[in-house]
Amino acid sequence: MSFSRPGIRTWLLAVYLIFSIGGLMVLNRVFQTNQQQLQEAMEHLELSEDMRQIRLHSSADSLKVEEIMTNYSAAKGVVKLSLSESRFYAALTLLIIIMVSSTVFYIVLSRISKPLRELQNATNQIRQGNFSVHLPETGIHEMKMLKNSFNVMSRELEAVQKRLLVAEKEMIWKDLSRILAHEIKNPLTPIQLAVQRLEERIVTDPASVQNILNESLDIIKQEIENLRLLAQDFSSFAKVSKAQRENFDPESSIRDICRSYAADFKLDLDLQPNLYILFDKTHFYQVITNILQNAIDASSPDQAIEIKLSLEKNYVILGIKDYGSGIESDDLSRVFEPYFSRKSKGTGLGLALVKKLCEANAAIVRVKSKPGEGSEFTLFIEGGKT
Amino acid sequence: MFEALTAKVFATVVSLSMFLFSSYSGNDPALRAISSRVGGEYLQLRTSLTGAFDNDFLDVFKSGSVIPVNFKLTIKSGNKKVLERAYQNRVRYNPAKGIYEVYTAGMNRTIETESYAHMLAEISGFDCSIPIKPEWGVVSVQLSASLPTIKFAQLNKPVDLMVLWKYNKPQASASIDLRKSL
Repeated sequence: MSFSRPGIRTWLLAVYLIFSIGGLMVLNRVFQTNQQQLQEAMEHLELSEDMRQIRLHSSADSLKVEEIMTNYSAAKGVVKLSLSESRFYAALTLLIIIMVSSTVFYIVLSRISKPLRELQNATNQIRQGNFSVHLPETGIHEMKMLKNSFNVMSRELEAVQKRLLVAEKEMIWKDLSRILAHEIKNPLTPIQLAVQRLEERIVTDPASVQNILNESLDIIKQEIENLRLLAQDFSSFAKVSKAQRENFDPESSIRDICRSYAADFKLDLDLQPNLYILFDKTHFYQVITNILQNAIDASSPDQAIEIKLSLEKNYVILGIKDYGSGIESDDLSRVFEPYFSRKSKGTGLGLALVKKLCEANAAIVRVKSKPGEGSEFTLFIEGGKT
Repeated sequence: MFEALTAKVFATVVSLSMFLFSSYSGNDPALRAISSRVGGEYLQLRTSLTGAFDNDFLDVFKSGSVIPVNFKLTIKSGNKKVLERAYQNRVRYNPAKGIYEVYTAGMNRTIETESYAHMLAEISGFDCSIPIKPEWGVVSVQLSASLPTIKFAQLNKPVDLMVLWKYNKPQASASIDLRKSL
């Protein structure tokens, strides 16, 4: 049984009981003392022997004395007996009063504390999200009122919860649509660039189209595959959030991703070979493309984007650094928040997704940036040397 | 059994209340172990009360009223009650003469004495002879003592003398094999 701090009503009851029982005990002590004194005084009232010593001259006097002595003895005996009786019953009555009042106190306390415990349990259930809990409106008047108020509150909360669930479902669908649209856009850019390169080459130098055809087709195939994987992930949203972590070589994955951008952007790769990372492959692709796309958006075509892969203790560190416009210091703490974007065409989901995917893969993402000097995103991923 | 349990609970409550809230000591009566002897077709039983009249009784005895002391004897053979008898010892004080007149029921005897101690020994004693039957075999003897409620001329209400014993009924029991001596 857990002991809870007593409330004001309990304190009042306790004080009342203490004073009433204390008062009775004081009163009992006074009576007992008085009775004791009376009893002691009675011990000295011994007249019988003295009376017997008196020699009387007439039988009438003798009878009178005998009667007086008999009455005196009887009265004394009765008084002593009454005294004993009152001392006995006073103590017994006091104990019974204390026992009964303590029992009543306990019952009253239980009647007060039990509904309060019920209320506490019900509040805990509300806190845990169970708004369907209702209390029986029983007990003393104040408790009935309190329970009634609680039930009204829980019913209202239940109704609000239902409305919120509907609104949340709607919001999730909206968010999902936005994320989907955003993620589809990323692979479309390299596809568009590959197609544009082919178109330009057909116009300017049709003879050399064959030279870039395979490469462009590979890029398109790769991005289509990425799109397919993305669609697969979105179709099973629950699976997306659950990372399928595996060991793989980050260097080749980064080179594959960068291949599609290399022709149009200046990418400087400094990738340490023979490393492995523990990460979901699809998530890794999404993370890199999102950060790279961000770097591309922030940079002009002639500005280099540096990608560096290194090993430090049990972590593979991947840095993506651009020398673009950079991020304002006020915005820096918000870049990973959903829907936060300073780009005219941005949805604000890219970096939020990066952070979420990193968390799902037990990786850490950090950003450093200075306005006008560029930004650097650093990923700390579990891994090592192969 | 229920009666015995109630008596124990009540005795505990009384002891506790006296201990906590009163200087009243009263008396704690007990019966000495029953001594028995089988002679012919009679069983002689003997015991006495102890600690029964130490406090508060002097003036009650000297009140001149008849003060009885009840004994209840029950003999069982197996689970069967074969004999139940009630005895009442009585004492009456004559204030004018200063003598006690004591009647002991078991022996059907009356004595007169001036000695308070002698009177106490007589009124406390239980001595009886009861006819027995051989087929009773091993018997269980139970004896209890109590005080009655009496009415004094000087008091309008009756007084239960058990108050002086704090409502404690002393009891004694013994198991006797009647065949051994028959």
